[in-house]
Amino acid sequence: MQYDFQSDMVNPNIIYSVDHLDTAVVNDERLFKLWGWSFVSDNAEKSGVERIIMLQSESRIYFFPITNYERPDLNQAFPDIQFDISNCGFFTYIAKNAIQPGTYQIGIIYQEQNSDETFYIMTNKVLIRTPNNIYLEAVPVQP
Amino acid sequence: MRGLKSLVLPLAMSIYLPLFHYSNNADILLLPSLWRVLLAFILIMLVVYTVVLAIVKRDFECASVVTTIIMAFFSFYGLLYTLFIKTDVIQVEHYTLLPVYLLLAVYACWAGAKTARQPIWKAASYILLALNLFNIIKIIPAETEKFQHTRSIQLNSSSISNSSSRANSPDIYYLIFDEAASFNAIRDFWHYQGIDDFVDFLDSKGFFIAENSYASTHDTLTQMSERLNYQRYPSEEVSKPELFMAIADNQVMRFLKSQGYTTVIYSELNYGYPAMPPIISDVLYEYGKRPSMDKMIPGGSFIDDFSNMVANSTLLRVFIDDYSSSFEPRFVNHYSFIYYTEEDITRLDDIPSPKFIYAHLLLPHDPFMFSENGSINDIEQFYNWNYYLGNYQFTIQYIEKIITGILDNADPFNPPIIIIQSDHGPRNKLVEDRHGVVLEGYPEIYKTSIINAMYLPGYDLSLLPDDIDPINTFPLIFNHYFDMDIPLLK
Repeated sequence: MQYDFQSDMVNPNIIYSVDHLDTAVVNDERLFKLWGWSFVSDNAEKSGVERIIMLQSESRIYFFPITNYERPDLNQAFPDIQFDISNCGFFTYIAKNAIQPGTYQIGIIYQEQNSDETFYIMTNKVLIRTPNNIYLEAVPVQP
Repeated sequence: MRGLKSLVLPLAMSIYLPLFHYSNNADILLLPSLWRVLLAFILIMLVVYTVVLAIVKRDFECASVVTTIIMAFFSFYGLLYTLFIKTDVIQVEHYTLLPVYLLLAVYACWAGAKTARQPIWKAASYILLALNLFNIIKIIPAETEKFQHTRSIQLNSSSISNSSSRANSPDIYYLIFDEAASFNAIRDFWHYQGIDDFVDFLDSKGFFIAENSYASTHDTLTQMSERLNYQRYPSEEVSKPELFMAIADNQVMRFLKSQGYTTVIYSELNYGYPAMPPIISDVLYEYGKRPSMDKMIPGGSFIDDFSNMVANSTLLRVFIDDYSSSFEPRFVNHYSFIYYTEEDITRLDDIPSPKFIYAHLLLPHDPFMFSENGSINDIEQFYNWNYYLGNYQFTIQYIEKIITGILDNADPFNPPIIIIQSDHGPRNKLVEDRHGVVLEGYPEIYKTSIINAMYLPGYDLSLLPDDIDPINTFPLIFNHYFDMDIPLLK
């Protein structure tokens, strides 16, 4: 998968939350599972839109496909949004050995399959991979 | 004789680890747990010794040393693995560490066989015996104290008898939901507004809700000792066996017995505190033990928490990491106990009134087994605090069912008293060896912020402040319903 990220591809209208990270055993393998939700506030969700999680460090970039899941509480939490956002929850599996140790800022990419339009947002969370663990932290505040 | 003498060193090695772990936790464990593990280790050692003896053609010294080395490598693999994980400097997996470890073990056995007659092994015997003696010396005072308290409880139990019951004394249900967050914490930290439906439910039933009630500590034993005896137990001055004793033989139940009450206990306290003695009562249902009207049936599963802890330190760690399942006996027992209590506690018609029912349930305490709809979470999440809210949502539905059941079955002319409390708030404790996950930015104040709701028929609820100290729960009740004059503590 190739992406050429330009600053004008950043869409500030993506509303998101990267909620938490836990573990799950899938096919006898212990994987990390990243949970969150996101939607584009000025645009109803389209059926042909794919979301992808991006982990970006200074030297590396990884992409993970997400699975949608129901978040019926989102409609209540955002009463001003005029379209249904209850299916905007997501999770993605990350194998520890799939990424190198380092600190990765988490991004959410939207890719419209019909028009090939791509836009994204870098979230306020980083994923830190140490030799034996992976955990989430807030992006450090710049002095 | 030579054969027996050669067993001293491997025997001292094989009992070291169980004794070490037990001596560090003697105040909360029971000796049968230690016996089981010691027996297992000694059997393993004897099998290894027999095999090695055959290989080295009945060279007793050599078999002794090689068996000792094998037992040492067997005993400490899990500890080494945990050390690597915790220091987190290099990546470690069983498939990388184990081959290196086994290679080292083979080399050590070879070197040990070569030096089996050197005085160093005699010195090793003395050192291991001294270490074991040190552990035993640590265990003795704790066991003596536990024995004295248990004996005292047995004597007190036989001296308590029912007085004639007062007419129309209400049944009293004291229901503790361990680690349940206050409603404020659930609203403000977890942002779960559905909690107000539960508050409305309690309101509609006539409960008084002390929304700003705080426990003095976030320690279960201290909290329950204080509330059941209406006196303070400064945690730094009181040992665990003393707190066990204060709960097992408590002032509240002694008083109620003197008023002719039948006492019924549903307790999961021994889930976290296996050494907790049975609470003196007429009917006792304890976690992990079959219910019995007049005596406890001893037992429990062979693989208890202590066995797990010791096994985690050994080579068995390799298999434990793959084995963990929600069908572990402790989880099955917890599940059974929760559903048994729900079913039974509202159907106590066969127990004569007035009765005092004290239930202490590990809900929503970890393991965070239940999701909001009552399905069982993946075992990976049992110690993941992100699953606390689901377990809590299950708990409030559970409380609703119990309250509805109790009130539906109650005598309308003599309604019961019902107290719903948590011992302390959520502590966000990390359980590292169970893939635990804690919450970020969790405020310290919520650790002592509790649920405190009371159904007090005939009580002028306007007299009650919403920040009642839970230590005053029973003084308030006894002063009103039994014309007592117990001073309230501040």
